[in-house]
Amino acid sequence: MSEPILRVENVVTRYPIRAGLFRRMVGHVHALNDVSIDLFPGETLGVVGESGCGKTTLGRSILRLIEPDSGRVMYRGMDVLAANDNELRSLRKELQIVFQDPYASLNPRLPVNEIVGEPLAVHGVAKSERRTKVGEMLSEVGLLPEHGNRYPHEFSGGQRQRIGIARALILNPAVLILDEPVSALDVSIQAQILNLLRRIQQEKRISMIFIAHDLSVVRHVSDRVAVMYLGRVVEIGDRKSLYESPKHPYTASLLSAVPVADPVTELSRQRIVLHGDVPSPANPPSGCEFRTRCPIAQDRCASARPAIQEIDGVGVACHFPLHRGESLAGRLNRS
Amino acid sequence: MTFLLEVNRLDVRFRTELGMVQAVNDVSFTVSKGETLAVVGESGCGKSVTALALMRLLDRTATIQGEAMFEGIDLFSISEKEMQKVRGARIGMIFQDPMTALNPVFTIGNQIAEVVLAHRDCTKNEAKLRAIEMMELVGIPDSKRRVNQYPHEFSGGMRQRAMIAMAIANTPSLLIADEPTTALDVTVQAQVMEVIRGVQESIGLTVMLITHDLGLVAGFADRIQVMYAGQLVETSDRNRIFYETRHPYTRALLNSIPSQLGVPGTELKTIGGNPPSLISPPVGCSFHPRCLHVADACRASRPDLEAVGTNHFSRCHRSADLGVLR
Repeated sequence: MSEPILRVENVVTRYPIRAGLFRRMVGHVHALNDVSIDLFPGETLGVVGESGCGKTTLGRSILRLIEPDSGRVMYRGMDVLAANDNELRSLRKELQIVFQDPYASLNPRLPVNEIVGEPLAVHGVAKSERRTKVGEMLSEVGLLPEHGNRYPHEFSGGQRQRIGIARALILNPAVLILDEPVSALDVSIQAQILNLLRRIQQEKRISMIFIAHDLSVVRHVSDRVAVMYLGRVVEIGDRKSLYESPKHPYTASLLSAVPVADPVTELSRQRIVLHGDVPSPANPPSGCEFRTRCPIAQDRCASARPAIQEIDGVGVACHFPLHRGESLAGRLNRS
Repeated sequence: MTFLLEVNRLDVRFRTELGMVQAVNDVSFTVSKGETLAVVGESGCGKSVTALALMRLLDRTATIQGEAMFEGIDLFSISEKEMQKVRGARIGMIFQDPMTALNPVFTIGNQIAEVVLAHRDCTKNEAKLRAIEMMELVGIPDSKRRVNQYPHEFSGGMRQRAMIAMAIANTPSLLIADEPTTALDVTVQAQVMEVIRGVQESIGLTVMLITHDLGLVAGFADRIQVMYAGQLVETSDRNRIFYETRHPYTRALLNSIPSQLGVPGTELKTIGGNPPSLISPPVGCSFHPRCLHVADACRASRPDLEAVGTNHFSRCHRSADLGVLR
């Protein structure tokens, strides 16, 4: 396999918890706890998990929109986390992000030309050249060059997300981070954006990190998938093995909870409903983070945290992973 | 056959600065006792407005026309006072966002008990016991203690359970669930849907489920009605909607979801363009500007909802020559 284009190594990001009259710091929330992932050239890595699992923090930590506390993010031999302001500016040319909410992420007072052209202006591209480039980029994402004179409120949610994508692509980045790019959109519009992203990737060979909570969408777009739970990666591997034969009990139960839009499949399959809620990341359980909801947890899970280990080419953080072809329901029936 | 709810020619219009918005247009349907009817469609199709109109919860800018017969009374012609006896007692409703639907300054127990007290002749203590009983029914653990907690002490899934407890506290015959799991994570969504199903079986509830999630509908609904731009475009039992689809919009909607069963990485079928304006809807069929099968008739006149099979209705001029859509 080729060298990764981006390596996230042991990144830890914590948020302070403040309380009381003087907002004194009383503790930390570990939003990212020792997360390591590799992104290979031209691939799409899907990152899935429920609210609070740290997937959005991961995307933002890579770009230092949130400063991680420790770890390294290596891009072409350079550590993004150690870069100074100048270096960071040139790195951000290569690493871009598209945000979830197409309403909040576009400045309502700027015309689209300026929104999409702003990254070019920051990097010193002359005004006349900017105009041509913005026009080309707008056509590339399925808008018209004359849309550039309009303001964000004149566009629908799907069109706004196209504007956000155009802004992210205008500097020709090598890595694109997409943070829930379609979750605010209706299904018919979502499909348009997913097709657009697919086309862009085929044409430009951009490497993408696609962060989403929707497992069906992630399955559709990803080559490899990382599953996160409470600030950690619990399973990471190629899409096919992860979806067809999940090894971590969390992945298995997450997949079994996703409704399938097909009545025959939906009514015949065995569903494992997890009990309880995701624990607070301010006060995570001892040992394995998932053990409080895990249907197959044993004593060892409370005392020792499982390290990520490689089984059949997939990374799994579990003391008792499911074997190839073994289902969680099957394991439950056996015990 | 008698229906629990029979809606005839429902029209809902909103007065806005930009003009009249026709949010619901000539919608008629029935709900039978004990069934689960799913109303599906994308944002702005009128599915939530239909529910709010039935509960008479729309504000003054709305004009409602039509008839809604529920257990022998017309919900639109009774007085507000009589309507209050229906709301929360004979029809319960749960909303998308349980945090905004709950009052943050009262305990969960208080809020459930309030609903009980409003409709029953009982003491505060009895109402509180009823609240605890309901919380147990919807699977809130340790309910004797949690009855005294405030909404912020509950997680999203637990709040939605509390909302369900409140909605069914007076054993209504109809439960309207408006996007009940949209704000929740999938594992919690599975829990909440199980609760609704359990309650439905234990007290014989009829459910009207309003959602955009076709996956949820596939496992939960008995019958489905699809709405587009304020109109009902197709309605039938669940399997016919999924496997013998007749309306081009329903088909397009089903095709545009990246399914767990589909081939990853392939081009998804999309619906071109955007949903139409409800202030000046297109002439003819409201779906015609986005339809793959558009013909001259579609631009000229609005199609009626017509029978295309047993208990299967579709609003399309080309139903007969298109047949079952794939």
